[in-house]
Amino acid sequence: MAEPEVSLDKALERLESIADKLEDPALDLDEAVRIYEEGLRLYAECAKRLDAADLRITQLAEALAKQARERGAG
Amino acid sequence: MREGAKGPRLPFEAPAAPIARVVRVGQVVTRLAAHIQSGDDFKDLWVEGEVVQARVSPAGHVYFTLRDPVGQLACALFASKAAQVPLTPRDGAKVLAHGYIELYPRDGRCQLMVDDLRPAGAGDAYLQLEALKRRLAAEGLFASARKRPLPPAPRRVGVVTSAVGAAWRDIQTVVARRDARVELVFAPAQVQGIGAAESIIAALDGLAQLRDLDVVILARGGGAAEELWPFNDEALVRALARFPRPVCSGVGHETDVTLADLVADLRAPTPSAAAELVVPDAGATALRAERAWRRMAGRMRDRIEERRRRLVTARRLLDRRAPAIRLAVSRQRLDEARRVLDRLIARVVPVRRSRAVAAQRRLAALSPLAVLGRGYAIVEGVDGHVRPSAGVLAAGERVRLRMRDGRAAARVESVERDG
Repeated sequence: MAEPEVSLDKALERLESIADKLEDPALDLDEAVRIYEEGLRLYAECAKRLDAADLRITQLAEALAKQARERGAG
Repeated sequence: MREGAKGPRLPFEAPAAPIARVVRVGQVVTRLAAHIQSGDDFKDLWVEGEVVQARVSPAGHVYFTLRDPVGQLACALFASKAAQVPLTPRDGAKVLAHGYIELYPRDGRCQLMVDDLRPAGAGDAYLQLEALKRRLAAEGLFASARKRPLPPAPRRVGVVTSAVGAAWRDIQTVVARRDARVELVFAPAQVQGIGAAESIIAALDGLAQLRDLDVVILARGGGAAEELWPFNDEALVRALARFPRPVCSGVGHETDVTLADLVADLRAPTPSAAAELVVPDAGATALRAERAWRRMAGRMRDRIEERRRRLVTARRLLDRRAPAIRLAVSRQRLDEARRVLDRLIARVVPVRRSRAVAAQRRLAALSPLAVLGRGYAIVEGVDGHVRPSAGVLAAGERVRLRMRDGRAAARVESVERDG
């Protein structure tokens, strides 16, 4: 899969602006469906990337702890 | 007795010269002492001479006289200073004494108050050293702008010192304790006596060949001032200045700073101190790094959590404002419209129906069939079409007669048209 072009923060901001837009009762239904779909996609993307960042930090912390243990043992 | 005759004059014979002013001895010596003290002429002196009549008082003060062919000078070296001076004055020794002149009013004698003492031979060398120091300083060799920072985490450290002294052992001990991963490259050199400077320069040249050397320690254990002369050698100072890596000096001595110390990028008071300055404590470094990492990871998690909260909020809003709800509203409106339509239709059809019935009634009333009741018959062909005139009938044609209450089949016998 290609790397996402926009940053997580940008995607999150876009998602929030979509939520704001959907509040507008004058919004055309077709347009509402279109941006709603985009919003769901952005949500999934953001959630995935936040999970990945979280996991990465956990992995790094574990790697560091392991390294420290090995140094301590050696 | 002749007037003007030369001869010894007795005091009482002297012409009574007017005595302008009489001062007491105490005033003279006090004023003299103050005069000596107030100027710079008798301070910070290096006095060269031969020691005679040296003696040590029970309190540890050393009194002696410095003498040369022209005169002599009483000297006092107090116990507190004597402890710091490496040389003990002995009769017959040629020395260079440093101090200031003080006049004691009580005995009216001047004394040199000594605070440093060197062998007389050192006199010229000392002055030469001062001249050399000034010259090299003027060249900028000791400028702080020239000082290179020590590498924060050295891996290979060169050590120039004596193979026999304690310095090398001390450095090894300190480095092993602080960071066992640091590799020491030992370049042994002769650090005192004739040829010492050349030996140190050769060791430095050897280290300069190593590509991945991070820093060099130049060390020597404690020694008397005169034993440190190699570290004031001009060629050595220049070799240190052009050395490609930072140099830390650790020459063990208390009082004087050698030129090697001045030109070094960092000066440590002892070999051990040099090792401590050059090699950071790995344990402490690791601890700091871990603390920094924890802080960083914590902040990263905070950032992620903040975004996660925003994401959850956005998702909730998205769900609440989902088009499905709009869709339901639209559907409701559609249903509503449909019901309205149905209602309208429902009303429209019966109206039409009753109108249709009325029309049919009216039609029925006007129907020609109604005439049949009055005894008339309608002639139709077999094709079902009405034959409205005799002219359209043919003789022999079969026709049907429609009566009020039924039909009858007939045949045209003949056709006679009126007129």
